[in-house]
Amino acid sequence: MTVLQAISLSKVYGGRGKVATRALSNFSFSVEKGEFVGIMGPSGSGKTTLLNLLATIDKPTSGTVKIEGVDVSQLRGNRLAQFRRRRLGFVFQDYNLLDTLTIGENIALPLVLDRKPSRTIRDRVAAVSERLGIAGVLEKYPYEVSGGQQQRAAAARAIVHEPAILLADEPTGNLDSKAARELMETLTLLNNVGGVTITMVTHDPFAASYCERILFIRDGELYNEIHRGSSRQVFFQQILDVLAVIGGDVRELETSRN
Amino acid sequence: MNLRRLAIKNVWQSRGRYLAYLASSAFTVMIYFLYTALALHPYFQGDYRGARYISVADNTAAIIIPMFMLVFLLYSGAAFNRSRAKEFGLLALLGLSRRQLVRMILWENVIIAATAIALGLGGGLLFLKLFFMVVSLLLGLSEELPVYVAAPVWWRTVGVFGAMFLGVSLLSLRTVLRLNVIELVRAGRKPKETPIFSWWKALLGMALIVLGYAWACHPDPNVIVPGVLPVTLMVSVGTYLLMRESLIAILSGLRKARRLYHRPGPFLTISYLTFKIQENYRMLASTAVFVAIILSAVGTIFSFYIVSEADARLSAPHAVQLFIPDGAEATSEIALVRSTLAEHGVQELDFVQVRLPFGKIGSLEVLVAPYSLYESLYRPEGVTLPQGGDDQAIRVNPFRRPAIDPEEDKPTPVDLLLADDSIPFTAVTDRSGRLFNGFLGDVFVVSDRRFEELVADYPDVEYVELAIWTGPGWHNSKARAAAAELTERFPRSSPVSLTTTLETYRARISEYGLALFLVVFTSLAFFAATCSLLYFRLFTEIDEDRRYYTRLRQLGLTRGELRGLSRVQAMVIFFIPFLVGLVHSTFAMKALGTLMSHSVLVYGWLVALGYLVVLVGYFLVTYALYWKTLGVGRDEITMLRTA
Repeated sequence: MTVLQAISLSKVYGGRGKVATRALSNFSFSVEKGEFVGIMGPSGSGKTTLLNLLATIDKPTSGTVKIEGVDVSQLRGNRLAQFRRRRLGFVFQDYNLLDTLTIGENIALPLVLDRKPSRTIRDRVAAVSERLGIAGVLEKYPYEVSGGQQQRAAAARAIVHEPAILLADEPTGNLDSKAARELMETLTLLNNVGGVTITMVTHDPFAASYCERILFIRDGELYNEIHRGSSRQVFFQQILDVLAVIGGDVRELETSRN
Repeated sequence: MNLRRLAIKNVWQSRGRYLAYLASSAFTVMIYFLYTALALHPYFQGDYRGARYISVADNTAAIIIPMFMLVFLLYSGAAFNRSRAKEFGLLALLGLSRRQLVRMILWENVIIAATAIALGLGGGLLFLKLFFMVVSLLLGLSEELPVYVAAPVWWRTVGVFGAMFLGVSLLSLRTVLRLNVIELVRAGRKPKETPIFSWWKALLGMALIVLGYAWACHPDPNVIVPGVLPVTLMVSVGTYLLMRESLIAILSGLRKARRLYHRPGPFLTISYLTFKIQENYRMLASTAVFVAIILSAVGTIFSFYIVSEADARLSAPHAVQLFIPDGAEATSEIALVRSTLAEHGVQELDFVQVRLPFGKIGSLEVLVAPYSLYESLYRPEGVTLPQGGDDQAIRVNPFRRPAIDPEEDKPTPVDLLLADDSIPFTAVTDRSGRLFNGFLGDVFVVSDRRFEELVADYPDVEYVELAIWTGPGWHNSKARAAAAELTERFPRSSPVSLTTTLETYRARISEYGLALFLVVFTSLAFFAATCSLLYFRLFTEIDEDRRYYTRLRQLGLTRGELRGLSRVQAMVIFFIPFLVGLVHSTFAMKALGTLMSHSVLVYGWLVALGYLVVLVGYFLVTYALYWKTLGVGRDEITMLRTA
């Protein structure tokens, strides 16, 4: 079953007197249920634009995005916000947890917004946090726990309401290598065991090597697509090879940041 | 670019943030300037009827305004510098030395202080003429007060505010200097501590407030009067202590009520408020105290103003009264009153003319009157007591005030002294209001037969004659016109003195009117500063709030939901202090009611209602501005991209 379908997406910025920039042109791809897809590309290649379009926080100049068969470009205002709230889960580079809520409350947020009964909320938060290894910090505030724990809490929040797809934007960008490895292993676990569909934008080849399939973007167009075999090490090498060809600066070849 | 230029540029660039600060400082300077001009006006240096109010105004201006201004400047200065700590840190990081940083901040403060003072003085000059016009009108002066702006007015204003600005900027410098560069740079992201409930603070705060309230509710005016200052202090300190603790208690209690808490609105609002307790409770408490002061002060003077008619009728119950000292001839004066009343067609007043002896009870001089007179005289709220035997008497107290001790109302043996004789009576006290216009002391009412005997037996003691036109009709237009004309035509050289209810009423109104004007005027300064505290609270944390709302937006909250959420959160900040202040001022009005022996709660609430209307208006404007600046309502792509 196809969860996400992007059909000839184009995005042009500027226009009306300004110089128009084509960030994305005629880009098509689809994600099946239970897939773990990565999107990579050098800076300015259009990968963030693509994720914004998929996340329904930006509108394409032409083309359509369908999630579970719903054409999200037809949704407006409140219905769009509700769709985003119920069917999508987000993990951001800067965790995006609310400082005013405890870790547990942050995870519970999507369920609370959806007016789920109190008991369901408690059970689901307990189950998800157990699975992501953060059950011990539910009562703490985001600034009281480590970056890795914050990002896992963000991941927990992104899946607690069982969305159609989890969209991750540079989830390892602010993490050290150990925390990044733990997060990626957690996401893989969610994908393998929990059957969560994931689409992740990254320029970290190490993080990308956990995906099953990677799309490479260059200058707003699909450049290449590679599939993972049995070995993650081999896949990692393949990713580095493609990146070497399409360019991007040396920093992108580092396996970790910070 | 030298430091001064940098400072000027800084001020100019953050002019939006400075605006509220500047506007309310300038406004306070203006009010202080106007008060000083009034207090130092040569016209009031001499003997003058309203002079005591002017001196009150002077004290208010000299102490309360600067004190209040100091609290305001300290809070807003601290909040302002905190919001800019990151900028200072960056400048330090770029190599600005401590010395240069200090000089830059000082320059900035000098620019702001100078602008505020200049604007305040300018505004003061602009409104000076109008201010004196209103004061002249309220005092009923025949000619308008000349505008007065001598040097002392200028240097007092500049001196007081200059010193205050300097003090505050030095204090705020201390905070900046204490932190090192990295703390400054990170100031914006400093984690907040979860507030912890403190039992002793809660109990002490509660005890102070309960004690203050109990004192205010005491039925004895003699207990209340010395309590005004201590109760104000106790309740203020109690408010500070209890504000934080009760917020923690209430919010964490709500948080535990899962069924309520696990709904979108309460969930986000309660957690947001809990998070902000630590940095907001001081501001909430000071605003609450300010609101309480404003409401009580305006409520008090308003009550005086409202009850001044009743008050005038109590202190001068008869429409017209002539007091004719022993031996004086009053035929022409009585004829004048008669003809004036007749000219205006006043017929419904009863005429009584009596001659009464002065006696003594102990060392107190009393007027002796027959029961038939006591019975026949009109008194607006008077109660006529039944006549006893010939050795029974009624002592009419000139003040309408309930007995503090019920023992006082029991019949007591009293010796009336006439000439050198002591005549025993058993007297009861009538406290329902005075019998004659003006203060003539107690009136000792005896039976008619006894009165005749006394007059016959003591023809040589001091006597006084009273000519009284009495009845409930003093307030109709004919009677008022007659009384006004009479006051004008009555010969000033006459030994006979004239008192009318109308003239008493007018004097009260002009005194309370002036006081009301001055108090409302001071309250405006308080209100302006209270408003800017609220404005400051909203706008210093706007970056943090924007981050918060943007995140919620990304999680799929709709624009409408966010708007509702932020409105509720802003409303809490605006209206909690009002509610607390209202409760405080209600107790203050209760105490005032005891002092005035007349419930004035309704007038206090009327004032509060007026305040609420203004506050709601201010809230709507400020909130609209806040929401616009927040930018969360804009189309989402622009917003999310800038986040």
